[in-house]
Amino acid sequence: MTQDMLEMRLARLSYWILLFCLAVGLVSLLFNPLTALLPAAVVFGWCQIGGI
Amino acid sequence: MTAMLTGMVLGFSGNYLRTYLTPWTIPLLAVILAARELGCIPRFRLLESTRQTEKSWLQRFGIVTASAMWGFHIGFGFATRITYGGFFVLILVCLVTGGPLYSALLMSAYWLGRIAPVWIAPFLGRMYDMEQLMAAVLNNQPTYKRVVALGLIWAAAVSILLALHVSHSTMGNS
Repeated sequence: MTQDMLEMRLARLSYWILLFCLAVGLVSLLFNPLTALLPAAVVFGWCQIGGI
Repeated sequence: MTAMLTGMVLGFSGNYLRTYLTPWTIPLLAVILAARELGCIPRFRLLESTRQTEKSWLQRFGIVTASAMWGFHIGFGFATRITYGGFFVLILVCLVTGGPLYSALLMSAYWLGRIAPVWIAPFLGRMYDMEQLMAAVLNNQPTYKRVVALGLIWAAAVSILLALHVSHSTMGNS
């Protein structure tokens, strides 16, 4: 696999994680706005992968 | 454990600082940091430690102990580098709205996201060359910036709802 393809797959994985977390956040918003911030916290943590 | 502890300390501190901080500071900070990640404003330096987790722990303590130690170290949040602004919004949420329990949960969620790459790395390492993988991770910075910015916009929208809720409750009580 080329480097470009690997980078694209990693980028796609990050966007999927974001989409999944936002979907969970949207559902949890119906119950309590505070819980809607928990998936955002997961996204912020995941993105620190680029800060290593 | 350390992430929960950090969250609880922030939540307890919030009990004392809450009177000085309005809930509107959360969306304000989130929007400023989203603008920073998207390059709409100059990329200012964040308050961060320049340290990283010790790679030498792997040789000194073995993979199991080293992994646990990395997890503990990362859990503090402040002890290692913070490249993107999302973490600071979480701190502010803990201080402004969260009690110790919610703050511990929020910091644990952040830790879960941070530690996830460490958990999936062995599986990816079997499929891809590790050096190629590391280069791909580091070259994807623009993606992480965009993803963090979208997360910050989400956090801003949610915290505006929270601030409106608090304002309505305050007006209702007065």
